[in-house]
Amino acid sequence: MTCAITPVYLLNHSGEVKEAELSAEISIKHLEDWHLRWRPFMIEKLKEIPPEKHPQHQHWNWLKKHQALDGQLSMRSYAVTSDNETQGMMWVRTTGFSQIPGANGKPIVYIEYIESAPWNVCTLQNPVKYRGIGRILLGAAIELSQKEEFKGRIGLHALSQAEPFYHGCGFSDLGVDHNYHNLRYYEMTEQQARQFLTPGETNV
Amino acid sequence: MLKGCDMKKKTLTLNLTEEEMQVLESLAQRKEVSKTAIIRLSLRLYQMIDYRLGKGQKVFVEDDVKQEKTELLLI
Repeated sequence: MTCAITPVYLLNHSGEVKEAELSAEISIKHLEDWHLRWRPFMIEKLKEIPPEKHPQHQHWNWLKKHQALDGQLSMRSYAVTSDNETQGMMWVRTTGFSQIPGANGKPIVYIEYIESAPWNVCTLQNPVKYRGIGRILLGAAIELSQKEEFKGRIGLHALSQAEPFYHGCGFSDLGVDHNYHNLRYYEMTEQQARQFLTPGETNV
Repeated sequence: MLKGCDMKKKTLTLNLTEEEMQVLESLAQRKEVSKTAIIRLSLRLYQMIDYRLGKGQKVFVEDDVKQEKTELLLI
């Protein structure tokens, strides 16, 4: 069997459009890239920047996550590849429950982990190599939510460094979740998800 | 490998009691999804709980208002 691959597009540091691939499963190749490319790059860059600017996700171990989550029906993984190099990865859970008024208790896709390659993180490398990875992965989560009949609803707990990004993507901020590491919880409604996928259209 | 909704699907005839069917229909209506989606969600949740218990972990339900935590016993 083969993994579903969708063509997607990223912007490079010059603003040029670059072809990429969205894989509907993290593969061994993606994990090798994390181990052999992401980690060494991150370790070197961390030496150059002050500790307060270190990414809060710097300790994430995608190999361990894969070992813990792969094989569970509720878990799905995605990866973005360009230049034969992994540019971003994501794990989502399809058994989340909405907390937003109006959809409370209805099923959502919950984003467990989402990360861009360190050379695409502006605090580690500026200008970044590619932009748009986070939005491609969020779009994949929304499309999965639609396919699962969840109407595009997605949710996540954000590390504080990533909060501005999720605000910019149109999520609703449901405040600090004291039951989950005091991280802010964000959710996208059906309408917000539609707006995210087709930003030029006006919702009626 | 294709997973979940991307996979080729197989059809199953399900025999349910009247009461089970009522619960299934009620859940599908409240969650605004099909009965198939409820069955698939149930299977995922059951596998997730079974996986945790299989690793020797415990599953709890928590009441925020009453500040109560109760172990979900699955024997």
